[in-house]
This record gives sequence, structure tokens and C-alpha cells, in this order.
Amino acid sequence: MTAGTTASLVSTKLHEYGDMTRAALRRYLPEREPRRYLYDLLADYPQRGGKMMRPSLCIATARLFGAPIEQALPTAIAIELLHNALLIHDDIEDGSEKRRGRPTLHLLHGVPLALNAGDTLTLMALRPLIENRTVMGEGVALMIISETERMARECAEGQAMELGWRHYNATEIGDAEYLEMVLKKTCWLATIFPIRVGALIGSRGVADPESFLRFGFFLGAAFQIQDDLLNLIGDERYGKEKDGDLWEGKRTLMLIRALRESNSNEHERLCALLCRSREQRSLEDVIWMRWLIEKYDGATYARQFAQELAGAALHEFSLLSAGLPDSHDKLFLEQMATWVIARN
Amino acid sequence: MSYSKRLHRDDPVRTGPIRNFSGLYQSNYSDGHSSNSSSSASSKNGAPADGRERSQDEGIGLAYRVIEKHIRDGKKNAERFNDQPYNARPITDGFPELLERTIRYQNELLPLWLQALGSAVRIDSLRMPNTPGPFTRPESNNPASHGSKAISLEIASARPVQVSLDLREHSEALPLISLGLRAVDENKPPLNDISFAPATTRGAIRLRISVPDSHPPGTYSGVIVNRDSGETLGTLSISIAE
Amino acid sequence: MPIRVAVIGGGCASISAAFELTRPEHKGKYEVTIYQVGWRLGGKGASGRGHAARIEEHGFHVWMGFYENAFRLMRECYAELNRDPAKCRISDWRDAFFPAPFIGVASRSQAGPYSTWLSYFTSAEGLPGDPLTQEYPFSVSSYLSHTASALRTMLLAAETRASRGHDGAPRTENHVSDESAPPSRGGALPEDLANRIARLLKFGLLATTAGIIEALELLRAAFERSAIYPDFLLPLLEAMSSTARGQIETLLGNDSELQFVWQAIDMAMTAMSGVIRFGLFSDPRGFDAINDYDFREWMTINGASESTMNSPLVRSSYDLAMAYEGGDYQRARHAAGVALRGSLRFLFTYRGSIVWKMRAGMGDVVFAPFYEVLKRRGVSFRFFHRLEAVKLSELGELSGSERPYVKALEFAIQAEVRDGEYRPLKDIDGLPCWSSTPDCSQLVEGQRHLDWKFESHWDRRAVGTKTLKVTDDFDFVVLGVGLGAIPFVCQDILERDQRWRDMVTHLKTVETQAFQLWMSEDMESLGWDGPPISLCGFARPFDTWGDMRHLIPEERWPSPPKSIAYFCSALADSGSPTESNDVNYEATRREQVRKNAITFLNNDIGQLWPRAVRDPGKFRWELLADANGTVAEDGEARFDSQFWTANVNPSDRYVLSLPGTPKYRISPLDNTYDNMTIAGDWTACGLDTGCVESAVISGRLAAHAIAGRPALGEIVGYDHP
Repeated sequence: MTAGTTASLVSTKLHEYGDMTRAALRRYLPEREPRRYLYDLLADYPQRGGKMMRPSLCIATARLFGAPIEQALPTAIAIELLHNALLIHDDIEDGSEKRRGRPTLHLLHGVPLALNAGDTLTLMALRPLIENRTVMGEGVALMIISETERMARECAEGQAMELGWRHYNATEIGDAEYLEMVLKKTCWLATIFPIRVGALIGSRGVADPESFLRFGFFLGAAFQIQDDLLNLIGDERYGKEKDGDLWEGKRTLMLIRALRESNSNEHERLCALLCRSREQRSLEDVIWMRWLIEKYDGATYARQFAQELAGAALHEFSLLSAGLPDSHDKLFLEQMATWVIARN
Repeated sequence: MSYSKRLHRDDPVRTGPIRNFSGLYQSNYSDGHSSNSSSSASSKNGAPADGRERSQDEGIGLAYRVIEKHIRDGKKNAERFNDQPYNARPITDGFPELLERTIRYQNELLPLWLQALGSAVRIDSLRMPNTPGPFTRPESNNPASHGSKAISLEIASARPVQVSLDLREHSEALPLISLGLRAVDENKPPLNDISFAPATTRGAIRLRISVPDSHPPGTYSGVIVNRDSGETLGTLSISIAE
Repeated sequence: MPIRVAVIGGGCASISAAFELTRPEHKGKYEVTIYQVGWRLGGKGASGRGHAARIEEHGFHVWMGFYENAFRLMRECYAELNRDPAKCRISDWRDAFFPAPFIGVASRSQAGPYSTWLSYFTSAEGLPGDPLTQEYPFSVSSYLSHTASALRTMLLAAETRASRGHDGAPRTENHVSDESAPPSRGGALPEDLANRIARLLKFGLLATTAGIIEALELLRAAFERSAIYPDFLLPLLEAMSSTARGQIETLLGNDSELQFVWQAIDMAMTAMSGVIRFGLFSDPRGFDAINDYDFREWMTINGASESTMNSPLVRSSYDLAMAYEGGDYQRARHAAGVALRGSLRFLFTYRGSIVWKMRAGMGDVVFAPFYEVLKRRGVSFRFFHRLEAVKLSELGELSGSERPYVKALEFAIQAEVRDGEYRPLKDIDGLPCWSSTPDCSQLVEGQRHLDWKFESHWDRRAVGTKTLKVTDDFDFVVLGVGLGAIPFVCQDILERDQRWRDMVTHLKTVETQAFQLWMSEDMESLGWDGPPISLCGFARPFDTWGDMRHLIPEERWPSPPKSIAYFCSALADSGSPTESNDVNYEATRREQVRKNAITFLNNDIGQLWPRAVRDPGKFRWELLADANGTVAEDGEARFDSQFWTANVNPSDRYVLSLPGTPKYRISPLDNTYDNMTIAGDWTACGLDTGCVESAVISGRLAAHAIAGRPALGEIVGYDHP
């Protein structure tokens, strides 16, 4: 069957790889006591679905370099476990109320239990990574664990940056700082790490992971900006609450632009708003922030930025994949660059 | 025959072999390329500009700067912590001149090569030389910094000389001899008065070098071998000042 | 409803495709029918039994120890076949194949006498067809590491020899073993290696053999850590070899053994430099990047000396690949990338023995077991079916985005079989074998067919035709005919498809010739006291000799011969184009081969078998054993009792890898005609050379194209620089 349009190849692949990952992931979540306090919580977020972009990137890259799916699956599972662990923590840190259409875990079970579940999910990711030894040999398995450590470190630094900005009311943030934060916090887990380890798996440890940094970064950054855009202008059905980012005072590209471009009165008011905590912000405040962002074309600016990043991602990918034969996975990765900004 | 009834092959996963992963083995593009790619990237996606000129500090140029810095920082950290054993950098410091000199040396030292092949070579047996693996740390050229490897130098020379000695680990216990040191310039006679004396009670072997007063200045170098097996164990170089 | 696959051709590629498609895992999803011209499977590898059950082959066939896919399938076949060892003398694959590690290269200086350099290649771990270990053996750096290792060993061996002096013995074994040190990662900083190499250079140690040996060890370690040091590796290699070349060769003078070793060293170091200089480490095309060069040309560019390029080593690599355009020895041409890849695979990735010989004819050892297993699995065989044309859909018939497809297959039926399927095998004391002639008793009007040359392209006689239609009779086609047949059977495709036209224009084939001798004295009496050998580089036109004494117990002579010898080579084009209806062409060529053989036996063989000639120019014809006892005369006429062949059928022509041509190959995975795939050693199969392994890989690729299995990653060595 010939390949369909952009959207359908990417969705097909995301479904295909996502379903495989989800099915295999169940094996790693124990179904024993304590269920109500732990194991049911662990299974909750993974079961709620999701785009499964992260594990799909890993699998597709591994296949691009010639590995069979089975070799990439354990790592894909680890990625998905880590991702869900991070979601639990994110939701707590952001004080979010909804995740994928249902209440967040800490709202359902309280922060301590949710926190514990998040930590446990992180550690559970170890098992498939250890099992990689039998799948691909000690050498490559160790490389992947090493990559995981690097990714965790970058994630933590990115997360710290973002949280620190909010906690310490940082308002002197420019696009460069934003990009750096996104690179660490989002891109490493969402795109860079899955692609890097996918390449290691597929090439049996021969490929240089450093080569994938640019492609992964541009792809992940475009993805994140689109995420932020959707939160600003998307519908309720998107899954997270609308305007959640504004309520949190999240430093998005749009907000940073507003900070940069606003006149002194507006700037002062915005800074004051950002200094307050979430509870102290009112609906009027959020509406005003929206207005301010619109006044300075924040959405247009971000959209264009994301498009440029997507273009750069395409360019980097074409450099990377020059010598590789055509395949569905190559096409899929290529079209991801467009998908990340076209989705809603 | 209608298309729907006729069976047809699916497109295969790929249609050719993967010839080389090494395109990704070493980042082929240096930091300098990012400025080119940023312009091509923005022209690629064809997004209409918002009317303003965007400087290098904006948009994709900025993104490239961020990632390049990230890559550099990553490498620096790796070096510091030596945590990326599968990722090595090219060594380029100081080599070009070194190599030019040594290639010149090659031409001059050809006689040694011929001697080795033409006559009975001092390797009597087929035993593999005891080469250390790639994991031994390099021994510094300065004998003073050898540390635990005790070698004492006894130099008899009227003029200042500079001695460089490289010995493989644990060679001090073996019977060492020098095969004579030669200079680049064929007209200069070799330095042959070089001997090793066995270790004293202190445990250090002694390297005795005697430089005749009339010996032309210059650099003389050669190998140190195991007297019994002929195995190369190190190198010795002596520079005689004017 | 099973999917019906028509497999055309019965050579290695087709058989492999059929074997893959009918695996039990597919649970009968594919119903395969194999269409074969004449009475036996095998294609270029077919063999038969003549009188006294003597084996008659197309040429001299050995399997290399790096034929991972061929051996894997073969072993699976024997396992499934499960013959009773009590009843059949070849029941396990190791009964069928045995290690033949003695390889020889003949050489002569100017017009002097030939000398032979014998090598015993030590066995490597494992057996071909074993599952691969975790380590990925096919990286460029791994090959370089092996090369450095092997060089080091050779150098040590040469040194020893030089120091011992020459004792004048005509044959001495030099042990060339490949030390496969497992690649190690992690650990020492690269500075270690770099510093040590720098020190070596600094003190001019490369002028001594000991220094070179140490440098090679460091190189090997450097290569293991993979291609990070191109900046100084290249000058290092050049420093090691460039200055010494001229003088060394003079020094080595007339010691041909040392000269040989030096030439091997030169070749290997040149290849290493070339790989680095041409950036083959990082070129996405891998070795294909240099396929526009001839191998010798490329080596010369990288500094190899002329005498090395004329050395027996290089000549043999051309001989083995029959790399002579038009069979003309003056036009020796071999694509450099293909040559390099082939040599590296041959030398460094073999398992068990570097070469394996077969205990009976290739047909008996390979194709009979496959035939039996495939039959058990339900495959149908249609012998005596000659493909005439592959018909494509009309342009107007296609709808929308539909791709062109094979609409029909037209066959000529050469003979009708009496009841059911033709039974092609005959039992020779428990071993099912193919015959050199068809069993006309199974054919309708069998007497009529007695003089029909079913395998000949020029004998177009048939008793009928058959047209198979898509969907009615078949769903998919595997076109496994030889490349030479394509212009005759694929006219529709050639008319419309530029790629196919390019392929048949650029990919060249040659005719080959071969003869076999059975002699009444053993090799030692004939003056050859070496081990049973595979020798190449010898006198043209029969530059390749295989000692086949192991076949003696397999044949059924009333009074067995004491030695058997096979010779083969390319056959030079006759100069006149092949006319499709020149019925005398075959006979003419065959006569040419006979003359070539007789001349060769009179004038050249004496250098290898001194006591086989009476005087120079006079072969002892009485040596030739004649099972029928019909040729009683002495003299040259006795040769008529032996076996010789001119392989001139278009489908039997051997495919070449001339420079600039590999890129015209088409892959079995290509999906232009979406109900057909191609298979054969002439397709783009990764190895891109004419050999059994290429054919098997292509057959597996064809199966993948249809069924999605085997996974491409399972096809060992397909992904390869």
C-alpha cells in the first residue's frame, strides 16, 4: 500500500509503535499488592493513552539503522515509563488539575502517594534497560544506561531552570534562555534521548550520539512551542486545562515576548502578576495576560519560530539520513518535523 | 485485471543496504556551518516573515547558537568526567610539524630498515613481542618524572646534553642494550658508547652515556632492545648542544 | 487461499527464495511452483552424474567460509531433511562440506618457471551459518584492525624466514592466521595511543621491522577504537611504506617467498591508506564509493608499486572473480569497492575454514537436499519448462496510481512428463543424485527427445506452450533466471524501463570453460607432493586448479582413478556475436575448449605436475582414466574420454563486476513491478559479485520483498560497508 498523506503516515506509525509499547509495557508493571497505594497508581497514567511520540521516535530510529522492533522495545518502554513519571511530578509542581481528560494523580490520591508513585515509575524504568543486556549485549546496554543518566541530568537542570524562574520570579528571560531551558527540560526526554538511543540500538553502538543533538533539539523545541501554543489557543479537548500555562505563569515564548515588548506600565503590571502565586492570580489577571500576549503578536511570533525550527529539523535530518536507504521509518522521522507543528 | 482483485507487493521497509553508520560516527560539520544552515532552513519553510528583518540573534540563528553551545559544553563536561568512553575527539595538536619531521627522519633512517631485513634480525623466535595494550598510561619523556621507575643516569659529557628516554613498563628488570644512536645527518657518526648496568641495591638500573668531546652536536636517536630476544622495549634520544 | 508464487529458474537464488517462502512459520501462506528448463535444478551450480557415476560439473565450485547465508540455509535444509545416516552417506551438512584450508597462488618471474606459494589458513572460531555473536563484525574499523593484525603476523613470519636463511626447499608453509582480537571499547584515553604513535615516529623506529611491528599493533588498537584519527594515521601509513618500497623490493631480490610476503604487506598497507584517504569511514556509500575505479587503478593511486600490482596475489583476485572483460586477459577490470569488500569478507570474516569443499557434486550436495525438502513442503516442480517471455500489463490497463505489473508468463514446454511430476533424482547407493542426461523414459514420446539439448539456448524445440495469467494462475513472480537470459525473456520490460536497459547494457557477463581429469596415478606420483589444494594464478587459460581427490570414493568406477583434477576459467569472447539461431555455436565453442585443454596439458601442467609430462610439450595421455574403456587409443584422443564444457548459454554466463557497473544493478526489493521480484547474483544484493552467497542473499531479499520475511537485519552481511 502506498504511503498516505503526511498526517496519516505519522499517525499510523505512532499508533503502531505506541500500541506495541503500551502492550509490552504492561509486563513491567506488577499487578500485586499494594495496589491501592502503589501499583494501580503506576498503571494509571500509562493507561490514559497519549501520543506515544517518545517511544515511537526511539523505535523508528532504531529501525532506521536496521534493528528489528523487538530490540528497541525495552528501551521504548523505559522511555515511556520515565515520561509518565515526569508527568506525575510535573502535575504536582504545576498544580495542574487535569491530565488527559481526567483528574491528575495527586488530586486523586494526594501528593505524597502520587510523589511516591512518580519516583517508583522512574526506578521501574531500570528493569527494561537492564534487560537490554540480553537483547543487545553489555556494551550497547551500558551505553544506553549512560545516555539515560545524561538525559536525567539534563532534564533535572531544565526543570530546575523553569521552576527556579517561577519561584524566584525571574522576568529577565530572553529567547535564548527559554530555548536552553526547553532543550534541557523537554527536548532531552522527548526527542533527543529517544533518537540517540534508537541510533545506538540500531547501529549496535557505532553511531555517534552527538550527531543527533541538533535534529533532536529542533524537533523537540518545535514540539514544545506548539504545545504552548495549543495551550494558549487550543480547545478544551486538548487534555490539559486551557490557559493552564498562564495560570502557572509559565515562561513561554509568547509570554517572554510580551515581557520584552510591553511598555513600561504593562511590563510592571506583568511582573507583579508573575510574582504572585497561582492562588493569588485571578481570572481577570489571566484574561489580561492573554490580551497582552495578543497585543504583541505572541502567537504569531511563536508560530513562526516553531516553523523555522521545524525547517531546521528537516534540514538536519536530511544531513543525518543522507546515506540511509528510503524506508517508512525514514519518511516518518522526516515528517515528524512537520507533524509536531501541524498537530492540534 | 482490476486492481482490487490483483495481489500486489507492499513497499518494503527499505530498498537498499545500510552501507555505513560512520556518517554519523563523527559529526562532519563544524560549528561554522550553522550560519549557512540557518539561512537555508528559514528559506526552506517559506514562512512569511512578519515584516521585520530578523537578526542573527533571533529565530533560528539563536537556536543554532544555543545548541552549538550545548554541544560544546557537553564535550567539556565529558572530558572533565571522562564519562563518554565511546566518543572520542580527533587529536590534532602539534602533529603536523611532528610528522613532517619524522617523515624526513624516515628517509634518513632507511639504512636501519634495510639492515633489519637484510641481515639476520635479532628476533630469533616467532614469539610475539610483549606489547602493552592500549590501556597503559604514557610514560613521560622526562626521566626525572618517572617516579617509581627508578633509572639512574650516568652521563659523561663535556657539553650540555639533553636525554629523552622512553621505556616500557617493567622493562627495568630486563637485560637492555642500545643499538646505537644515529643522527639525521648521515655524515655524523653514531653514538655507540651507551650501556645499561644492572640495578644497584637501590633497585635502579643505570644508563651510562658517554659523549666524546669531539662528537658533532645534534640529535641522535635509536632503540633500546632486550639483549636476549631483540624485542624493542623503548627509545633513547640524546641532543648534544653546540 | 494461499498466495501463489511462480519461481522461474532453479539456481541458488530461486531455491533460496522458495526455501524462505515455504518456511513452516508462514503456515502454508505461499504456494510455490518452480519452473525449470531441462531436467535438473542448479543453474550455474548444476551438476550431474555420468557413466561410472562420475561427477560432471559446470566448473570448479567451492564455498567460502564467509558464506553465512548460504551455509545457514544449507544447514537448516539438512536439519529438516533428517536423512538416516545408516542409509545415506551424506546425512549431515558436515558430511557434505569439509574444510579445505590449503590455498595456493602460482607465480612466475618474467618467463621463468612457475613457483607456488602455499598457505594454510588457520581455522577461525565457529562455523559458517552459526548465529552471529553480539559483536558487529562488518565495520570498516574492524577490518582495518584485522588487516593491521594480519600484517603484523606476516611481518613476523617474514622476519623469521629472513633470519633463518633459505634452505632451498621448493615449498614452505607460511602461516597466515587472522588474529581476531575482540574490539574493546572504553578505558584508556586516546592520548595514550596518539602519544605512543608519536613517539614511534619521532625516534624513527619505523625504520626497523620491530618498530613497524609495534606500530602495527598500535594501529590495530587505534582502529579498534574506530576512525577518529585520520589526521595522522594517513601520514603514519605513508611513512611506513613509501620510502621503503623501492629499496625493499631490490633487496628481496629473487627470494620469491619473501617477495610474496612483501607484496601482501604492500597491498594491505595501501588498502588501509586508501580507505582512510578516500574517507570510506564516513562515506555513506561505504566501499561503493570507489566502484568507478578498477581495483588495480585504485591501489596504484594509493601508492602501491607496480610489481605489487602485477603480483600473483592481485592476479589471483582477478582470476577468482573472472574479472576479465569479454574473457580477455588483457582487459582485467574489477570494481575497486566490490573487490575490496569481497577480499575483506573472504580473508577476515570466515568461520571454520576459509574455503569449504563438497564431498560430491554441487547438485548432489546442495540442490538434491533442497529439492527433497521443498517437495516435502509442498512445492511443485515443473521441469522442461522454458520461459519465453514475461508479459507486462498494457499502459492503458493501469488505473490511477497502479503500478505496472506482470500480466502473464509464457513458457515453452520442452517435453511432457508421463505421470505426475518428473522424478529427477536417481539413487546412487543411497545418495539421491542428479543425472547428466534427462531420463527420457519418464517423458511422453521419450525416444523423440533423446537428442534434444534441453539446456541449450539454441535448441528451441518444444512440444507445446503454456501461458500463465496473473490472478488466474499466479499472484507473484520470482524471476530467478541468469542475467544473460534477461534480454531474451524480458522484452516488454526492456522496452519501457530505462533502468533495465541500463542494467543489461552495463552489467557484463562472460562465458566460462572448464574441464575435469580422472587419472590413473596419484598426485604424488605425478610430481605434486603438496596437500590437496585450490590453486589460482596459474597458466592461462586454465588459471584455477582444484584437487578433487576426495571425490574418488563417491564415484563408482569399476577401477577407481587415483586422482581427480578440475580446471576452470573465463572463456574469451569469440569475437563474433552470439546469433540466436546459430545451432553450431555451442559445438564450436566446446571444440575450442577441448583444444585449449589439450594445449594446456601439453605445455603448462608440467610445471605443477612434473611427472605428468614426458617431455615438455608432451602430456602423458595414457594417464587419463576412461571408465567406459571405449577410448583405447593413446595420444590426445584419450582426452575425449574426459569431461569438458563451454558454458555459453546466456543464462550460464558468469556476471562480472566491472568498474562503474555495480550501480546499475537492481535490487530484489525494488517494487516497480509490484507483483514481481528478481533474484540472482546479478542483482543489487549487497555483495554485488557473482557467487553463491550473492545468489542466496538475493533469494532471501526476494522472499522479503514478497513476504516481509526474513527481516533485512537477519540477512547476514547485507548491511555492510
